[in-house]
Amino acid sequence: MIIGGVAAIAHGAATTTSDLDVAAPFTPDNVERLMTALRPYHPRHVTRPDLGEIADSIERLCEYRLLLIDTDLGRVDVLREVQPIGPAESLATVELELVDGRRFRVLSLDQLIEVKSFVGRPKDRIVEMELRAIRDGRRR
Amino acid sequence: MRLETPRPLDGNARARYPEVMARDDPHGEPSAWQAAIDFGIDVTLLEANLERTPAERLRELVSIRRRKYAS
Repeated sequence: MIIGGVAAIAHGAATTTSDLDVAAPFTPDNVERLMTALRPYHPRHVTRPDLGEIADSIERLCEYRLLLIDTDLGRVDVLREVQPIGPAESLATVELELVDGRRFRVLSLDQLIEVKSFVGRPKDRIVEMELRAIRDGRRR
Repeated sequence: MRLETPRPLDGNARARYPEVMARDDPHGEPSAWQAAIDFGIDVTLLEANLERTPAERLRELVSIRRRKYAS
């Protein structure tokens, strides 16, 4: 499911982002599908660009707490858990049509506000305020 | 030219113009919309986004990123 800045934009926020944050259970099936999708774009560990393309086994990748991946298309951060809510399985999502008529699971507006409030960096605070305004507008 | 009598905002208009609704409740708590304005957020960008579909919002993001990297 899509979380972070892209989720915020999908909900209507105006602050741009340069990466894609997603959350998913780190099952072998999920991680294999992720790597298959990214392989054409030469995925590299953000923290170890010197190692070149990711060559870890699926089992090894499943052991990571999070995957920070750089690709030819940009950065993708994959989280198994989203603070302060919990594991990916526990997140509330909405389905939105985002690309080519395809529907994607996106973190709910309420939980996205909770996450942005928890993270609390200046840029997250701005997005939090935008999302609160959007939620406020929807309720009126 | 025919002048129309102002009408109350319907449900769609209330959603599209939340800043107007915020001003309708001057004695209540500041709305989140007003708080965003006070925080310095350009809510006209939010208004423009809320007129778009989620897919259109993402296309705009991709367009901005392409322009940024092309320059």
